[in-house]
Amino acid sequence: MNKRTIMHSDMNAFFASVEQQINPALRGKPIAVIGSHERTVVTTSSYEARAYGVKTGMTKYEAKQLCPHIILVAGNTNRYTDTCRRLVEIYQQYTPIVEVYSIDEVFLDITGSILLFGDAETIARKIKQDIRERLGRLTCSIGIAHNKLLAKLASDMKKPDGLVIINQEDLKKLLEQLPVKELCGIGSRLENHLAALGIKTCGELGRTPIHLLKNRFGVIGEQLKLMAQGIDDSPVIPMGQEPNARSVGHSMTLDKDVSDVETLEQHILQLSEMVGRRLRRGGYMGRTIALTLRYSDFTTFTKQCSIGTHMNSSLDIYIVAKDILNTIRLQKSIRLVGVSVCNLIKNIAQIPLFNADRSKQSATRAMDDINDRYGDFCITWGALIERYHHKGVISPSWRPDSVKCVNFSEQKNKKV
Amino acid sequence: MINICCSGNNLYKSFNLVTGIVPTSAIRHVLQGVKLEVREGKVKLTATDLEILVRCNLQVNECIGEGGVVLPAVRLNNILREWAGNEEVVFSVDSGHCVIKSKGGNFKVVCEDVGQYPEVHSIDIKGFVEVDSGIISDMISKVVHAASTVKAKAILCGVYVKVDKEDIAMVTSDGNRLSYVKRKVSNPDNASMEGIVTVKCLTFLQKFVSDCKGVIKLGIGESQINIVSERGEILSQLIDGRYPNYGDVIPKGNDKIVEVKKDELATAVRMASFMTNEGYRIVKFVIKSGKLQLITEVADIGRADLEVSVVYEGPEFEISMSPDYVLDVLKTLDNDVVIMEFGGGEDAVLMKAGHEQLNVIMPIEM
Repeated sequence: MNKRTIMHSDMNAFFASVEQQINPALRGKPIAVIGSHERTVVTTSSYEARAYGVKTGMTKYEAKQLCPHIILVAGNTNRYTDTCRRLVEIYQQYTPIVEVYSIDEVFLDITGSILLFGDAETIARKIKQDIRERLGRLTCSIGIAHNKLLAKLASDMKKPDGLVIINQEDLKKLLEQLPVKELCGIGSRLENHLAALGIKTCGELGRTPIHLLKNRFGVIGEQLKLMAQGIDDSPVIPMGQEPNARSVGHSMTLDKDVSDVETLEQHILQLSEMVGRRLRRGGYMGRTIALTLRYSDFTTFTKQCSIGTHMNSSLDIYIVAKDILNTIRLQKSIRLVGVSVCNLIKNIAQIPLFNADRSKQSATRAMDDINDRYGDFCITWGALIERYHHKGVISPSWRPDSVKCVNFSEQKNKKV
Repeated sequence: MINICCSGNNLYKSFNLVTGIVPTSAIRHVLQGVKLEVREGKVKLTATDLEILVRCNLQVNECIGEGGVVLPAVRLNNILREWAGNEEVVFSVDSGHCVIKSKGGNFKVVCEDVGQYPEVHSIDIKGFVEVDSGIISDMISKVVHAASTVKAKAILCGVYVKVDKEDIAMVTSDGNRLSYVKRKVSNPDNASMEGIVTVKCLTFLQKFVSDCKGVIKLGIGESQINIVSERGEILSQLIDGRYPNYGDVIPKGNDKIVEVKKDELATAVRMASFMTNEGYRIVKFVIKSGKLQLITEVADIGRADLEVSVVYEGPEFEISMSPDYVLDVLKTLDNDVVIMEFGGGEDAVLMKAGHEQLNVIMPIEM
């Protein structure tokens, strides 16, 4: 493991850069990519907008306050997924071991590629050049180290268009004063818990006795100590070899609070179609369907129902989710709806008995093929035609050709 | 004012039976009760979930007064279970409450007004056929396993019952397999009737007739099924819809016929399934001259390779099926020898054993 060479590539302001690349009028200007519905948030902003303090997750009103002349651009899912696929093609020219970590981040294990293409820095520069040649203005920050943790840390150290290499000999000095929150996997809550123990830097965390960390954080205590010492043996998992998903789900914040059951059912149908598609694409079936609802006062609850057989048909999922809704007496209007399927198994090719079911299967397959080729919801249920002008923004969990490959999501809520 | 005296055992058995229909939660609280009604010296217990209604005659030692009351089902059932061994339990019903006395004490239970209890009547039953309760119960056991549990396939969640001349047939299917059984009935009026009956109704019918052997009368209308026996009656809503044409999917030209001992096959399939998991329930059947090889293989579990002697002369072929489907069928078969009729590797498999009973299983595409 010590001899590995891992590269992390992070596209800079990805969605915004794609929009600026496609529309020259947006270049050099502060822009923010948002969803098209009223209660959307900023998913990415250009570096020009970031200079004004615009950040991901802000509402469009907050962004406008900080930068009154900001240009708000409704996200176009297909552009981003298509660009991601083309990027992956570039990475795969240098190594087959490419892990798509999110739509704009990948890990590459280039250990075996150095003999073919030159050292890690040469490969990184070639990748940057290829991206420039094939995708224009898009830039990426690349980090190189001997494991994923440090490669990601390195890519975060210089943005935009950075290239940082962390060598083993510089590691101790680098980590000594590095705030713990800089490590991937340590969020603000964990940072606060560590701060309560008097730990603020990786150096301090690395020196903390293991028993103290285990007592406070349980099994992850040991992991935290290793991380602080820059140790991470996790492999780069190539596409198609990802561990089996435990659940597949989607949720959406509605344009406005809804108490009308018929409208809620429409949203549930849309979510069921999205979940069903992901299941089918990933080759999964599930037998527990869960419905999540959030009231206008943010009270959130989930009810689930297990059925006797595994399914991945959107309509079957919808009917179970609708049944769950019918058992709930709504006390307030609904702000968010979510549908998920768990208890997953790999899809087995059980042949249906009745011709009608075989025809239904063929129709579903045809629908999926059409939507794969021409864009999501290009062909869909009649009940959804009216509301499909309402496009959202891509889920950060999108992956090409896997269960995480979802081209449509209205919010950053994700599950898989 | 009503006074009833009956044996603890009789009372508990009848009350416990009808409590089986009482819904665990209901919008109308009164539905969580059991109606006790006395008319012309006869005592009846009634429960309904608004889809199925059961009315059970209660044998009593003594009965005074007329009228009715709705008793809290679960609470009273708990009391009566404890007193099931008592020789005598006495009910005294007065306005709004009922006093139950037996050896060792008494309970005063708040009851609901009988007027609030919904009335359900048979509306469209035009004729009845007569059949032995044991036969009906056996038919239900033979097919109920193949009914669907997926609400999206509402029609397949029931048992299709068809009476034609002297025959009564039951069919179930979950979309991947099918079970069919046919028996004789007495049909003096030559009535034809059919309908999709809920699994809940028929499994309840099995309990209903378990203690009371004899002939039952069965009638199916446009929207209801009515079953009448000495013990009482069941009235149930039918599942609305048209059952798929099951005759079309029963294979007729399967030319590879294999005879195998039921117990040997069941043991081998069960053992083969040990090497599968919930996510991969597949057994490969390799049929050769004189023997059947069962193979299962799951990467992170292992492999099973088992052999069973069969009567078969013909070309070698293989087919994959769910072990659960095969075992479900084997559990219901009467004969010691099963006849399996195969077509191609992706064609429906026909399994026969016993009189007028057949099962169809669709294979898994490998």
